[in-house]
Amino acid sequence: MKNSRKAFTTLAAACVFLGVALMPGCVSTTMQQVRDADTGIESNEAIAVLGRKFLSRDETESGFLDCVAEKSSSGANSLKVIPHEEFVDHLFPWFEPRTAPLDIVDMKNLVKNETIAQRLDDKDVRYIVWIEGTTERAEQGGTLNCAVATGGVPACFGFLSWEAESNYEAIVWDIRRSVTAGKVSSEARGMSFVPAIIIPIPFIARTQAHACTHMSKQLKQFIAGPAEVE
Amino acid sequence: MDLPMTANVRASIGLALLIVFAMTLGGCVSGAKVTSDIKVPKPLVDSVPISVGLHITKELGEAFHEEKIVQHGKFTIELGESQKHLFNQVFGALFSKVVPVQSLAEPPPDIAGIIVPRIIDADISIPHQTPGDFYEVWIQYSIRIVGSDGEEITDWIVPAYGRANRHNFSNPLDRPKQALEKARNNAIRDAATQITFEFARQPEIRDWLSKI
Repeated sequence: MKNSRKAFTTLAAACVFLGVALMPGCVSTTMQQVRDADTGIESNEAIAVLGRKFLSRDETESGFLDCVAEKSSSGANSLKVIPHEEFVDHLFPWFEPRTAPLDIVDMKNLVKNETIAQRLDDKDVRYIVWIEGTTERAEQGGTLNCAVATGGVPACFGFLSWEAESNYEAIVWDIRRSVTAGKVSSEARGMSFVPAIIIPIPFIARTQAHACTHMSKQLKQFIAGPAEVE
Repeated sequence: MDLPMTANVRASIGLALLIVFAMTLGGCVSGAKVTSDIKVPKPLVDSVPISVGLHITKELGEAFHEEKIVQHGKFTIELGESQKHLFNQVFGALFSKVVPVQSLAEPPPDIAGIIVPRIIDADISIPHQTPGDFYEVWIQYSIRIVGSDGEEITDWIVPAYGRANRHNFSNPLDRPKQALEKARNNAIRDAATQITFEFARQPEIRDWLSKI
């Protein structure tokens, strides 16, 4: 009887903690799309999702690139996606921070190199999607103090809050036609907070995950073209 | 009312605190040691149809950089393991044949010259030293070329740089090691990129190649 009460107490405590820990904070998302050319994709054609790397500026988190690659290649209207690392290794050293083409004119010149064109053909690359942007924390406030109280029980008191903003843009190049097809952007804002009365309870606004989900959905629709959207 | 605190409840509270502590641990760094090697892809370039020798010194093969950063511990990055692979990949792409040379005093026949790479300096930086979120690695190479007659053709300095965003690594305890490793790998890739693109553009090297 005593053991079952112990087990119940443990389970209840764990459930309460996990339940609240997974509670999302509030997130609002804004999406935008600019189309410069018609798009469409055959089932054998692929897109390469690349992060624009700079030697002296902030760069997109690899987790966001992985997320967009994964979500764009699954679900409805899924695309054949080549992730960043695989693509830059396959075309080394032409897509390194010092050497990557900065615009579609640079790309057009690059494709004139037969070796590079052949490598792109090997992977059936039709579109290159350049992603830029980051997630930033802003307006952090409050304090949270933790200590070990009498009896060896750790306890925290206080309140922490911060606002996060995820701001990403994807520029789509059509390699076959050597044109910029357009761009899609996804901006997510959210407030996270951690109130603590003995146990800290985090309410995390997953802005980056929201931005990724919306950008992937938009990208799939954008590349498939308006007629193909379910 | 006095509520009894069971060991299980204490454990749950401890777990919760541990998770919150881990979430805020990003600021704590206490050294790191990067020892793994890196595989650089062979550059996609047209090769020059000549044979060259490549002399990898013992000093280069064992190179490492060690640095103590006040309040953050000792950071060590191994550099030597990857160098033989790096230069074989790069010069193997630039020239039709690369012959390993054990000693400069005994050059093999039928080669246009011998390439002798060295690391002459290295440096690291962690996010706490700069306003940014990046672990950074600088490696300065010297690419010395000796002609088939034994005369030095050039000693070309290549400054390579790589960095890694700390936010790309979720485990706060393993973050310094993983991020420094990525930054080092990016610096080595940068060296490969610069040598591939700039090698034949160096005036002395261009002259040397034009006379072969």
